Amino acid sequence: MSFIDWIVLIGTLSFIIIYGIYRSRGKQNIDDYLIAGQSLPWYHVCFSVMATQASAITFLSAPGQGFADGMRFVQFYFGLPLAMVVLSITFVPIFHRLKVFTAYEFLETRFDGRVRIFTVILFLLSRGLSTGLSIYAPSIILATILGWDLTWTNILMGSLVLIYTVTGGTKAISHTHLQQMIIVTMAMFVAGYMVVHLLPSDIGFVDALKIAGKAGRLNTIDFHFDPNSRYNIWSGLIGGFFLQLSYFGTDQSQVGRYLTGESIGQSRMGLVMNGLLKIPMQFLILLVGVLVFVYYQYNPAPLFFNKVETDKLRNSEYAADFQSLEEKHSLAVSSQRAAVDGLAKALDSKDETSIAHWQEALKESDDTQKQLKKDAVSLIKKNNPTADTSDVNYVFLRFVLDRLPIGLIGLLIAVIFSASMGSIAAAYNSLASTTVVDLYKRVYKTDASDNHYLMATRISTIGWGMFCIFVAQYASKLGSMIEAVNILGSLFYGVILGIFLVAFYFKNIGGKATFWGAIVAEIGVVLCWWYDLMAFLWLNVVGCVLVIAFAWVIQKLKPANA
Amino acid sequence: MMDSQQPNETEGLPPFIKSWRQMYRIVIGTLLVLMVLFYVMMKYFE
Repeated sequence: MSFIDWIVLIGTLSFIIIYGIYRSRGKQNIDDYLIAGQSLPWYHVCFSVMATQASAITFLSAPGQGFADGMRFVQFYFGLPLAMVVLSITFVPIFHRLKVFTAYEFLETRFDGRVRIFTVILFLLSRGLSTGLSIYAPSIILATILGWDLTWTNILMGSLVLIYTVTGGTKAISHTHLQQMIIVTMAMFVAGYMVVHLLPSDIGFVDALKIAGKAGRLNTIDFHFDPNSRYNIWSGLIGGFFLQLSYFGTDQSQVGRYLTGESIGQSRMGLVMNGLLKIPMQFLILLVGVLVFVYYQYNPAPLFFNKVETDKLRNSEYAADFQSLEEKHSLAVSSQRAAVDGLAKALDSKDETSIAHWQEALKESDDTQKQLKKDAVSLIKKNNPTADTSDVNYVFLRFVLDRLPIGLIGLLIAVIFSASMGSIAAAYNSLASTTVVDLYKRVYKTDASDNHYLMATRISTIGWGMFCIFVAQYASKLGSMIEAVNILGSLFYGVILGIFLVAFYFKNIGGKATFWGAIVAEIGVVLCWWYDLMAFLWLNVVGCVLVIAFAWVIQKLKPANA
Repeated sequence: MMDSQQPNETEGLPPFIKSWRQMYRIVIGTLLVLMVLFYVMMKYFE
């Protein structure tokens, strides 16, 4: 990165941190620190939940996914607006009326202390470990591409956030979330504009869409029901609905965001606007990736975008094999260029026979390049079994560094940091508030002063920050990052959602039945995972259904005591 | 759990929307419109 990029990066991050501290200055009590005194308007709630959900990986992986796989990932978010409506009708009014700091306080009101503490332990375990992975995932990519030291990138990524999270609490987090979302959205629009600008002069935005469409990259809707297909309209609407309901309704990192709304109406409006904005935002991020794909139809793309791994390969015993793959790749790129030129001309002349011919040629070239990439991944794995071979994470960053002008590179790296800081800050805050409110205050020190709990929450935030950075340092041992995060979440999320659904919708089931039902369900989920009985995403469904089923059966067996 | 009997039913809503029920219909309607638009775009450029 150039000096100007460094100035832009440091300037942007400093602005976010200083602004967060500035907006939360003054004396704070525990209400201000944990839920911003329930004083924020809907747009703060909306941008805060969006910034919490959008991690750095969203801005690194999603454009790469658009490049490699097209737009179909957008269907994953189709269940989100429906989940926002259900949350607004049920969860928000209850949490607000009970004046809770955390979602888990409600469980004690509804059931008893055991259910609350059991759920809290599940949440702290999963959120603490997954936040460590959230620090590590962008750090490894930045460290790899920019040649930074991974340990220091982890420490920087995890500790910058602590500055304003510890001092300003939730108010600082919400104010910085707003700034982060503005910077991120602006930068993604600029990136999209720049990709189109870098295309040949006779290819405009609509031409780029036509080429992307003919190459099968505008595959936004798939009506075909296939349980093995990860993204189709049915998995998005049904699976996505349950996943988003679980995440927004029971994960304190999100519940803590919408509890900051100054009224039930403001919290609802924030969630509902998230339901309206999330899909268009995700669509635009994927579209940037699709435009990058079109750019690389006119310009040679590398065989593999993670240059560090290919450099290692060139200096290994597999150098000759890799060179042979690169030669084949060059040939495929040449035929791709001929095909895309032919397709653009055929589209101009509206000659259907010619369009079909060049479309087929482009598809052949695309398939050849995908196969060559698979062969390259096999070589990379042979050479370095621990190598990060998920190339989609590197596509956008490689494009930014190689093709965008000075200044914009710094801004886009700042976007990655900002997105990361947004989700990590919310996670630290939720871990600390849950630890103090649901464990420390509930079990250990029940009658201390406000100031005492405020200090305890600050210390807890620092403690969790250090823990998450520590996890990030050892995360490389866990294999594929995204999968590790998802597996971890899936082990606990279903059971937590099941507990909340029993609380909301099964009024005749008591605390004892729910507690034992949840324990048996969690054992069942762990056994399903341990014996590899199903794909990990189904663990969410199994966990949720098992809690409800076991709790119902136990309640039926012992209605008087449970 | 329905919250339709709240005293300040319209608090938080934009002035041109009369009830939360209407707001939720707009959210679900927007989702449907987006899905249709995505489908039309996919077919048009296919």
